[in-house]
Amino acid sequence: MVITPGWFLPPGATASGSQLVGHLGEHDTPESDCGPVPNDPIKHVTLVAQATVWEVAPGESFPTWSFNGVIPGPTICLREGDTLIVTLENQLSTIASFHAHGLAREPSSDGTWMTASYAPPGGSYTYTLQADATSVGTWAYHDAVAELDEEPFIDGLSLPESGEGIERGMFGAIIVYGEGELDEAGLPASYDHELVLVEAEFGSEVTGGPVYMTINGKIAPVTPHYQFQVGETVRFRIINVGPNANHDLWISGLEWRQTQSGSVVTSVLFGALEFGDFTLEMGEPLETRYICSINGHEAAGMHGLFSIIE
Amino acid sequence: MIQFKAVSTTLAFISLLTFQIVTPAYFLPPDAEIVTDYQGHTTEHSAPYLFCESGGSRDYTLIISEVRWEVAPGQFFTAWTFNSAIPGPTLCGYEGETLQIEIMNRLDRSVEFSVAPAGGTEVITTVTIDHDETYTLALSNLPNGTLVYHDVAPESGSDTTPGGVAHGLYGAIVIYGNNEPLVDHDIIVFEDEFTPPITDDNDYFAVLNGKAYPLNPHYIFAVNEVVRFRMINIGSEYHTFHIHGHVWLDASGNHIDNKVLAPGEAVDGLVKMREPGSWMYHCHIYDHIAGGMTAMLTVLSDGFEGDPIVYLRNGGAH
Repeated sequence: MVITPGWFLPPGATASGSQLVGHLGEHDTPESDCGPVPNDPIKHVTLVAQATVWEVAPGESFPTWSFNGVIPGPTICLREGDTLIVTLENQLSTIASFHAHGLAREPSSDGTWMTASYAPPGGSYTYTLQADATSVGTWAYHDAVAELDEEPFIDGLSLPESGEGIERGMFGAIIVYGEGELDEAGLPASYDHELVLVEAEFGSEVTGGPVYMTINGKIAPVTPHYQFQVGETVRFRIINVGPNANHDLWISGLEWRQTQSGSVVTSVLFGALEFGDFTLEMGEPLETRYICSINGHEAAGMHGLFSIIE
Repeated sequence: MIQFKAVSTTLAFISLLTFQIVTPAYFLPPDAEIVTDYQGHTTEHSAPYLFCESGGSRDYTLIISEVRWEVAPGQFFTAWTFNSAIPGPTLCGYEGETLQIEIMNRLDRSVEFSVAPAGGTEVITTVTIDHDETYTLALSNLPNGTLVYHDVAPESGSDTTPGGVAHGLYGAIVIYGNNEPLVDHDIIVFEDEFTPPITDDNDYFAVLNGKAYPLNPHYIFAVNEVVRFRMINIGSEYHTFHIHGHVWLDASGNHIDNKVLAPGEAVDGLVKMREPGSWMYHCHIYDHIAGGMTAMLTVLSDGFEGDPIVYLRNGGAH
């Protein structure tokens, strides 16, 4: 279940440039961030809420929180009909939770303070959720209770959901495949590549310094350098975890096809905690860039390279 | 709308209404009075709960006046309102009917009363109503769906910035067509902010139907009911609308549980209440949650018969 995100620097790589992701060599089978999704109807995932020093770019780090030491946390990949059992181990000194979007659950697996469904410091909590027909698609999971301090929000009035965990990096992707979307090997049936792309901002109150606008936890120039081959069909699972800003995604010279509706757009825009999946057809060779075109976001790191090769 | 009044001596009530819940007492100011605004499935019903029945009167009266509006427990600011509430009352009709609206302006300023489709750019009509004037407006041939009525007069000292909406002068009109999807409840959720200098003490509030948590609507529905949420962003910032534990289809055929709305944007979502229990619904922008833009929604369990308010007070026991 734990997928290695594309931006991990390979051993021996120089840390100065972006990381190539996508079509890196000939492949007979589709390539997916999920890898082969097993047929087991019950999927177990262990998430560890932990303190992490996160390197957003070489030489630029800040102490923060994460699931499993990586930002975004591991991608959770399911099939329609699956039951997801998440064991959350909390190594933080605050309460922590797992709140999923899109999956069916009882309130006791909602991961909220109101329902007391969280892990105490040093403790654990188990969540049980179902991926039903309405769950097919792209979603995020995130903490919804962690607090840096007990500061009330409005003059003594506390609120039932906290953004502290998500502001600090406690989030990840959930992919739910519907009937017919996977081949016999559990790989995408209709795509050559399938990738998770998470947009998130880290404010100065978290970084102790500049605002970072990140793609998969990194700022340019170490954001993914996407590379695909002419003729390939690629699905991007796009997630904006916010926690406050809108983010869009724009690739000069390419159009996105919204997977469900088929509508074609030049830019995709998501509000905080909105998600969707979009298909790109690789027509002609191209050297270009992808950016978030919202004012100031590109300058804060939210961009990268995009290549289509012969 | 049913209002159940719980005073601070009944903190136990507050903890009972949310099931497994540990609601700590510390969030209440010591002398705060919390009025929980239960809406939705507050009584048994055999027909859908809509904003109006077919064949009823379409005569409405709107009184525009200043009130001290309690936006959060014990926190007030001077608002401009239709009928002393934010949002104003939902006016309702059926396709082809004429709405007769008597509008009295008791503000010390003129109001430009404007009607437009929610989320649209065209304006159906705008009339100017001076201080202490009464105007009777007949609205015919309105489009089906959700419309907004609001004041578009410029803020004093400005030529262009509309003033009334920022002070609370807005409400909805619902026109039912002949082929409405079947729903059990019809709900309007206005998303908005109240900001300085309108608020007292430079306070910032992000609100659902005019109120910050916990004064905003606590919706009650029965399991398996289908609810139409008419989401309207009447504010000047982006907002999203998220319901915990529930998913609906958007216009593109996507399953979603959180929808972003630009200022002025509106969208409907048909949501099936699938899982009993208490859930949050909120804007997913955390600065807005911190400003009060979060609320509760309770789904009653299958086979429940009786008074939902008693059910909530008993912590969900039949």
